[in-house]
Amino acid sequence: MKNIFRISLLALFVGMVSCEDATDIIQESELSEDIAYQTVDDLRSGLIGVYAAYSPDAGGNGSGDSVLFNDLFTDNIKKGASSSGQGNTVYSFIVQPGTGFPNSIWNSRYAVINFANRVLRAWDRIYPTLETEDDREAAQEIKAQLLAMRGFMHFELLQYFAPSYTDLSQPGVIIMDFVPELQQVFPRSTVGEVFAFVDNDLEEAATLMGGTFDSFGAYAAEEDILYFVGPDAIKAMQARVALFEGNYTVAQTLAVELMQGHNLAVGQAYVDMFLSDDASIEEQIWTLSRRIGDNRIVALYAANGSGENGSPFFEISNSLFNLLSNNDVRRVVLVEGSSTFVGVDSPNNMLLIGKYQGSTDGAQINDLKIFRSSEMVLIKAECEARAGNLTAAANSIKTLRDARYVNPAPAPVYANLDAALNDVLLERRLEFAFEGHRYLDLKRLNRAINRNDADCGSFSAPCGLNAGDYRFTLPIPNSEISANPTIQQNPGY
Amino acid sequence: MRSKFTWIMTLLVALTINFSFAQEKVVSGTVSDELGPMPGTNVLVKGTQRSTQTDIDGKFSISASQGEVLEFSFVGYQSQEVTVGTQSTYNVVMAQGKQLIEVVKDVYRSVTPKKATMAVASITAEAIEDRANASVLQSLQGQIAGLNIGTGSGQPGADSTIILRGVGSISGNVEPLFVIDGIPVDEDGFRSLNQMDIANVQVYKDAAATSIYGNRGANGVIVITTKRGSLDQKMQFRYTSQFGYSELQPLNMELMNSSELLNFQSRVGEGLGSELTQAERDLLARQNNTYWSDIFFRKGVTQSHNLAITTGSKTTTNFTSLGYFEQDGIFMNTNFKRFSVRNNFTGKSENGKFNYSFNFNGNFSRSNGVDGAGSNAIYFAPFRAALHGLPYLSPYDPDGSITSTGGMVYGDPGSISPDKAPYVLLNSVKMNTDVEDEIKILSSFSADWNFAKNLTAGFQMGIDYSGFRTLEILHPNSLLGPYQVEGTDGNNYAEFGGVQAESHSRDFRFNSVTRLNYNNIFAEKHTIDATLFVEYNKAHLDGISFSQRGLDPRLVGTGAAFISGTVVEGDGQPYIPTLGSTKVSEGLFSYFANFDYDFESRFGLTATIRRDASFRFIDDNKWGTFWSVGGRWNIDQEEFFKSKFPATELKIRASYGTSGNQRINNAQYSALNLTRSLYGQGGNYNGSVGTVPTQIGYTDLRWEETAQTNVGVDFGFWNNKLSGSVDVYRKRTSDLFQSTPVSPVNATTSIDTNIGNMENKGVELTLKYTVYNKNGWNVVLNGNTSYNKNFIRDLPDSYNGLVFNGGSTSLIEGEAINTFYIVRYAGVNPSNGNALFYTADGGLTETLDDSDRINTGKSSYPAWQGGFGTLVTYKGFEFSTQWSYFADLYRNNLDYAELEETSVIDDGSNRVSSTATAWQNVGDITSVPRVNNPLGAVDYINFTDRYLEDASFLRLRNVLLGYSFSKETLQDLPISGLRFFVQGENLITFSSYRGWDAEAGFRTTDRGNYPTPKIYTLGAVINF
Repeated sequence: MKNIFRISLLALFVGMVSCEDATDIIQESELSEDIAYQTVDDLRSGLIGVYAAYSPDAGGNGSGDSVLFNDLFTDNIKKGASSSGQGNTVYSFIVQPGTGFPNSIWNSRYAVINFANRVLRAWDRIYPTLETEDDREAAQEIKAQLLAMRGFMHFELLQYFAPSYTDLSQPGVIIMDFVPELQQVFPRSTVGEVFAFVDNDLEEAATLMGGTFDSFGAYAAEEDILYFVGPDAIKAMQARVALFEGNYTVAQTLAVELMQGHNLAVGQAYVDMFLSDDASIEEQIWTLSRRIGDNRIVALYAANGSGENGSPFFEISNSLFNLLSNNDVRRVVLVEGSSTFVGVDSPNNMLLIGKYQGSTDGAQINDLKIFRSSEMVLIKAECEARAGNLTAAANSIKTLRDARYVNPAPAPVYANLDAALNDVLLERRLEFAFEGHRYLDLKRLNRAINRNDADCGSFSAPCGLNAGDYRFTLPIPNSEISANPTIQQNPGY
Repeated sequence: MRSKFTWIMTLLVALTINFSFAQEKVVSGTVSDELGPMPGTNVLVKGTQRSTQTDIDGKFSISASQGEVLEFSFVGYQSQEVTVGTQSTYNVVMAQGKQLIEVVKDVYRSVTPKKATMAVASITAEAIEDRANASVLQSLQGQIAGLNIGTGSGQPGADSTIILRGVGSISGNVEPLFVIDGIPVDEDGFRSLNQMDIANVQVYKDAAATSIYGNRGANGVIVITTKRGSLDQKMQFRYTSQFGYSELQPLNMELMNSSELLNFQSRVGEGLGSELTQAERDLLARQNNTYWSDIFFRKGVTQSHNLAITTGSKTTTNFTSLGYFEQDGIFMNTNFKRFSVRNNFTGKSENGKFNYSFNFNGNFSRSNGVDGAGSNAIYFAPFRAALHGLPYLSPYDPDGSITSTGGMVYGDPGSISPDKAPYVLLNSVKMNTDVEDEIKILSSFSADWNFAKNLTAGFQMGIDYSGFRTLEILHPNSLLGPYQVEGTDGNNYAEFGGVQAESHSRDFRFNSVTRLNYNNIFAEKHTIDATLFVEYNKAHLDGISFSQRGLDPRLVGTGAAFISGTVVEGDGQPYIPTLGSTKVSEGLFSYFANFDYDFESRFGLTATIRRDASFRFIDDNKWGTFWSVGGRWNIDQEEFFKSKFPATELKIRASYGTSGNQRINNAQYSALNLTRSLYGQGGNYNGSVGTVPTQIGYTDLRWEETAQTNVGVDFGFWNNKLSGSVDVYRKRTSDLFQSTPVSPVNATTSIDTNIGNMENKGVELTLKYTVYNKNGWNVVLNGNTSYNKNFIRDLPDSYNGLVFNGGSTSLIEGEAINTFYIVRYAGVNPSNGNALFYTADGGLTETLDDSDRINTGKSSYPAWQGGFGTLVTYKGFEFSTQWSYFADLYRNNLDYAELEETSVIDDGSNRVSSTATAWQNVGDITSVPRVNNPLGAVDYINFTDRYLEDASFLRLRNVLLGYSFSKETLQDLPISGLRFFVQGENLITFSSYRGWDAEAGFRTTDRGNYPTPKIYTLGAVINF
């Protein structure tokens, strides 16, 4: 009896020690997917995270993403006065699987896709539980944006990593329409498959969004609508995709539709669009909002702001500067006021990049334009030229130039398609300098890089790259290869 | 989980019912040697956990059953064994001259060294209590083979890095588990511990010793036992005090003086010297020749007071101690203070069947320090300024006092320039505040109950509580004060400057162990000791912090000075503070068993098996199973050996076993939930708050496992005139936690997984030789040395054997962790003065390219480590020395690189004399490239071996001379003992490393760090 008492006492002691509270610990700071996403507002905050993850303007001090790469690799940049060698490898056309740019472009686009797929997964769980029509409407418009972002990211990846846009059986990029398991790896789909996937995402997005962005009141004030992917942004994506696919009829139709509601900015309005980030200027179709704490785009080019004391390590190339006449309002925006011009192609020219001088949002804070109606005009011009209507193309070009020139110039006359495309390319160069287009334009139109000697001399770098060089397609980056040894590398690397 | 105990309980019941109750009694007696009673002798009931120590009169009292064997042991004496018979009093006379014998006693079991199958080394109070280091760990350096103690800062109380038998993990914790009086404690909190309280430190090395600590024993275990009272002891007092000074060690490099620097600047046409005439340079050099380290460093005072009271009744003992320690750092405005109080109480029932003890230790420490050790921000790097300051700047104001502004204008950013960095730092060190307070409470309770014959149940619980507070104030009226708050009104800086950052945190750790022990001797030959355990661990950390930018200079110190966050200047609110709040928990749960078997003291076997669950892992990976087997053969107990070698002791040990590391990320309270995908707010866009994934979970995470093989020999020749041990081991860590690439489609490019393995193998030797022991003289030499080879056996396949992420080191298969992976420096091209490097295949180049990096086979961790010393005693005199050394370790010397910089000259920094040998003319043969060469100090450090230096050193870690007055001298005085001593720390160092201090806590690159000091103290110990 005494024994039993003693043993019971001991048993009680051992039993006091419980195990689960020591071995199954959930920290208070943990937020699981189920808890994170429960309502339409939660889904919207997930969508906000997707927007925030898309940053083609990321980088600084010589590294970066697509906004810097397009100009640095081509002919819009020369070495800056305060350079300590930033970017000279890439400027020298040395791009390898380990280079930062392909890694950044690949990794960050797939991160956006992954984020979007996670919210879409939660959407599928939450949508059936929604009880009001308003909630369902809001949810559909959230899904529309998620699909549009997912499709657009696949399209951007394809632009950089597919060797061809026309040979649909060539390798494209990995299609991700779900949240993968860690350590799973996937092959590249063909160009045709990726285009079909992108078209499908954008089409579904357009359908879900409908003609108007009804639930926008839940996002921001009405004038901020240009910062979100509404019906027009989806359409603009479709137009750009169609142009790359070679669906010129579709591209032209969409471009013309978009030109309706988005008049080109003329004169001071053009200047305000960049230097004041004036959101009311309707030329903008989709713009990435940048506020204090976000990327400072000028940091891609200079250490301490855009002025002469900003320690610029990149400047406007002489070849681009030489194309800018005083008659062109774009010069006011592109060339920062404290620039020094000594003489044509002089090595002492200090040509400061002025597109991102800061705004009312803050010193060094500027929005990033993704779609403007000027691009639609240029898509229209290109499609007209390709359809054989060279006069219409010339008139479209004139439309744009009329908006940009102080004193109007006569419409150009094109002898043939090639001449028309050259003029479109020239206008694209002036219009979209430092907005992430140049490399892709040269690639799509199969043109060579021909640098001004003063520019390539500033870096002691090669002055040209042949049209169709393998380096017009980026290498699949090391980040993918080291985890996915079976993935197919692009030719030449 | 509870149900899993069912079988333990069943076993418990089964065991209990079969045995009747024991007939235990209290036996007592006196232990003495030829001179008289011997206090402090260990008394152990063999094969049990019952042990005690004799009191000041040599008396002991312990409960034992008839037939059990009492073992008496004392350092330097031959141990004695007495079998308990019918009588209750046993007087034992100890014979001198035997090897160091102690009881190996850990949280879970106790056994005499002879019967230990484990590789264990120990240090007693004598070796540490006279030392003047604020952290007791620093005193252990060089005293134990295989134990590396690296201290990287001279701030009193600075944390040390402790590595036993090599680095066993890439990302995870590499330090051993520390256990104080049975409580596992934070390995970083030793500054708060009073070394006067420590009775003994034991270092557990092999798997047989550490496996029982399975969930945290993979890096070894260090067990610290504090002092206790004895039964039936009169009240005694022991007062100890020390007083002394600390100072900077000599600088092992030659800096330019004013004249040399100005003339060098003149020669190369850069800097102030180039703007002055020869006469002006001479004048300036005569006026000012400042050795800035004399200004920043000082002689610091150390003092300590300690009072210990011990007492004991028939059934209780008590030990109480009060301590105060204060040490000034050798750098201005740094110091450390500690108050400590301890009470260790033990009690037992009249029949001795129930024993319990309660320990309480409360400490408060305050450390006033300076930030910026190792910093590259020159205005925030005080130690760098002390080394680099320009000699031609005067440190004095016109009135002759040390300047606090250097004539700079407050509020004018234009007046601050790199050459003025020493002035800025003097000002900052004087005006700013950097305080760390720690309240540390260690408390434990343990009880055991011999409730049936051969069966003892035990319970123990402990807490380790640390309350931290840090306070840093950058004073708004300091030179840098006005530039701390960015302006929102068009000005660069807001109206109010200064920063106050404060944090408070509480760290509470709880541990409990419940055990059931069975012990019996069969046929007087077979001793069996088996124990079952259940262990529970839980730890909680919470804290808050804030940083306020913008302080009212009239009120600095509290929140009264804070400029409100709502204040608007221009377009914005510049004074919005940043806030933080954390709360995290950790937990472990284990059950395990230990089995000891002894056959006639000739053979022994120890086996351990345990199952551990960590909160860090899930599903099948949550539980780890670890086990060990150890065996010994006491050859000296064999008849054939005894007859041939009567005065020789010899024991062979061998063990193999595994242990786990669940702290897969080194930082405390980190990697808390890596198995789960998590979301968080963040990713803000257009002013809205987003929700984004913050962590992609990896469900297959598991324990890092270390398997260790150890073979050792313990020996004593010529009646232990020469004694020691040799151990060889191999330790292999598998499932290493490290970064592995994953496809970017996962929104990340790498995750941490368990992949790859690493090995440490080595040999350890410990020797003690009594040179002379006659006529009152006793001369003993002791030494230990260890060699450890660390290498990475396997990395993730996709890395092709090498992980290089920039910098100077990389992970290379077949090489040690932190192996330098650099381009070899080939000197200076005589034709143009540029630096030359060897390409990977041995050619010469002037261009640094990653493809020319080679594996140097040199690591920042030492391969060789050890120490040696002497102890000479004659009558009341004692003289001891203790040396320690590290060899075959390398470090990048960025201090020297910057002081030999020639790519720029006018950078506000002094130069070493060798800079003057920079290349000047075609054909010059020199090792210093031309002035204005394109490569700077950091290029050489990150890319080349130009400043990769051998950081081996041999140091006279401690020397002590003491005298104890004899009892006869003191008989008319009211005191029973009196001892005086003088001692010094770090008096002499031999090293080729160019700097203040060759010791740097295993850093790969050193710049502007706080060097460890020399310390001299005078001490007194009074017993009454």
